[in-house]
Amino acid sequence: MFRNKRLSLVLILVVIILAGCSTNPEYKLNISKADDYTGESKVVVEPHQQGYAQGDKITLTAYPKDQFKSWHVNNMGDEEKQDVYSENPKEFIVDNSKEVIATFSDTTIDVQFKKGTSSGGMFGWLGDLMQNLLGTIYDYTKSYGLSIIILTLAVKLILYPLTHKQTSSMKKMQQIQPEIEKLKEKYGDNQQKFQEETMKLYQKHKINPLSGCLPMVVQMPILIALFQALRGWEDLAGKSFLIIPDLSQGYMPLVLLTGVITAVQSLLTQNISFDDLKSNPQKVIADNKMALFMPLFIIFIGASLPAGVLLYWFISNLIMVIQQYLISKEPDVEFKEESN
Amino acid sequence: MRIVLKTIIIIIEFYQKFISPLKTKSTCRFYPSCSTYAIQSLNKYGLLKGGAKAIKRILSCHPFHPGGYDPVE
Repeated sequence: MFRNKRLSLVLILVVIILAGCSTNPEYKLNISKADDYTGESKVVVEPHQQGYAQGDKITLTAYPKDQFKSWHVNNMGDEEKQDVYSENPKEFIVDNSKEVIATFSDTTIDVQFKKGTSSGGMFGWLGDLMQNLLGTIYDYTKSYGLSIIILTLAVKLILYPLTHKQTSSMKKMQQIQPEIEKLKEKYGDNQQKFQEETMKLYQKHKINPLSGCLPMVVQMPILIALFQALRGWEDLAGKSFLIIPDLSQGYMPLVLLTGVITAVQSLLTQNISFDDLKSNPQKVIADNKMALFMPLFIIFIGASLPAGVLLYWFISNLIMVIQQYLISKEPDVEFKEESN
Repeated sequence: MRIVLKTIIIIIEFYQKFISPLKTKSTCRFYPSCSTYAIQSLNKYGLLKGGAKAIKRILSCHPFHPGGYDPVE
């Protein structure tokens, strides 16, 4: 009856709070001419200001107009695509890091839209650390999606001893279920007393189905760091992975998949076997409305998270489901009643 | 010192009221739970000793520790 891993929700709330605290990414414009150029060609930016927010509109005008030929726009992270415009002045939207090259008859002038590196928030440094880590893995894998998966596996491997012990004790829980029902009848009105007695019962049988607060506290910084790292990370923009078109942007199908896998995972933790789920899904859903709240919540907030964060989340939950499935296949463990 | 203590307790209470219920079931292996334990020990022993006890408690709240009934003494 006890669900173990409700931590993810807390983690995500923290992430949201932190996201609210930090500022929007700021862009800077960098205009550069060829070093040896001494002619009169120039590009004027309007409005001229120190930094620009995401979505701001700016107008670039190239002078002298009769020597101007065209604008070439290179979007960072999307090497093949190059847009060419010939109107002058031309309006651009500041929405990602890109390079606009003004071609004149005698020279070219580069206008670079650069995203500010200060990610803000008090956990900005965690994000930087995570970017470095992912960058290091990327050097070997050449794929950010794969790097995130490797990172997830590494975290799961480190936490494996904790989760394994806890998942196997969930199995033993089924055996003391009748005693818990008895306690529930006895202390039904007094929730505190019921909790206290339940804990004492666990102690007596030397089992405990709860995952504990420490794993939650340990996993929290990882998720925060990942969120900080992926949000508005230039290197990641336009990087696709399998079915995901862009790891730095939201991606609905992955959000839904994550919701589904979380639903399966939370149903499994409540001692519902795969067979129940296959034979009578309607009944299972009706009996476990609360377990389905969490996946809905994930879908709700997941829509605004970078796909990379959801990839971590999805893989992480998938591993948990596999782990639970394997343990449920193991033969029953006999447990001894200890007196103390 | 007093203000810091009060602020920390308010943050823990905020966690208990608004964040923890979203888990729908508890994660803590102890009774009273780590958060309740932290508030009690902070009130009883103050910021340093109480805080140290609370941290020690959270550090032992993992699947290798049996958990169970563990009130603030």
